[in-house]
Amino acid sequence: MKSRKRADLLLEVLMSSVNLDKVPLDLGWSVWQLFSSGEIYSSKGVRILIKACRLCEPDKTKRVLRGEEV
Amino acid sequence: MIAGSLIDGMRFDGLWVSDHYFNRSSFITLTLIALNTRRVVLGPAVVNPYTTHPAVIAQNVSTLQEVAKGRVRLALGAGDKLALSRIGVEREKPVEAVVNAVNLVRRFLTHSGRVDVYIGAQGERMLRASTEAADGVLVNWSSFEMLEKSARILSDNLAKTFHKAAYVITSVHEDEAKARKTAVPYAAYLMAGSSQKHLERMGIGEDFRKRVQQLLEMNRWDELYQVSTGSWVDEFAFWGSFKKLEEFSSAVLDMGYDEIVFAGPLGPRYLHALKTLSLICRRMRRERVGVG
Repeated sequence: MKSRKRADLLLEVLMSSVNLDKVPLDLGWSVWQLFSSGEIYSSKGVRILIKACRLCEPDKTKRVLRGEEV
Repeated sequence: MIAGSLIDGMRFDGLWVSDHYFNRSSFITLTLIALNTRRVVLGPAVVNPYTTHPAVIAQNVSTLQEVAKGRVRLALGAGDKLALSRIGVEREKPVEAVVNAVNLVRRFLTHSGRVDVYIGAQGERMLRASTEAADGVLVNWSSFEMLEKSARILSDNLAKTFHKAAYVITSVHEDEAKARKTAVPYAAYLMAGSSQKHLERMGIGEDFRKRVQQLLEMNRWDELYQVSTGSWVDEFAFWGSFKKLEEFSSAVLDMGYDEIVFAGPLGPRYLHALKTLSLICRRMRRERVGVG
């Protein structure tokens, strides 16, 4: 899967989550900084998104990484 | 902030941030959003004068107005009775308190440039008071019938500049069952805090209201979904497909509303819902006023 598509899916998982309190502040700010600078679609951006999504939505994250629908 | 940035880029007209003492501060959140957006009009909805004195509300609005370079509006309302009672605040004479707050805030905001003040309203008295005291109203109903009834009440003696917005709790998804499931906790929260008068009209008894309130307080979501099969959910939230939402929105605008506020949760897939809502808004704008 291309990193842009993967980042979009992960961003959807993150933004739709009701468990965002499980994402530490520093990690949350990293996501914002990467998003606002446009770097969220880079490999670093995807890596940070995976880290955040695994904490708040582990099952959905697995499905995205396997290329399945969420 | 990510949502704020996207909303600005998708060319929505406005963005309201909810104001509850148990959530993030609306004004601090709006300040961050203001610093990271360029055109969208911002406002807290709905601030109540019981937990924040009108002088402090005006101070916050005035500061936000500077940060946002004039892109600010404000919604004042009576607040949620149940939530206020939990912190020992008695919501006395809500209509009088809100009108008084509007007048005070306006007095304090004299030097802050133009800030439109809205009143968040449900009941008939608050709706009528909004037309006399404020620049606009946020009608806090999500059902077609109640929005229609409110529009009729508002149609008497309105100034041409008075702005009518329908504040609709929205949950959309192609799979309507998923949309409904996402809407349930929001509808339940609103139902549990509703006045006995409104609940009686909907045929909801006090025992049921208390049961739902308990389930919410204990975060017992599975049981909440089990007891939320009735049509009462439709009174407090719009849920359904995007096509259904577009038809609903079009009918609401036909009632005379100038604006529809699509309030959270938006749907089980937040970003997908946001993107599709922006397309629906653009299409309706194009059809109605030839722009979009």
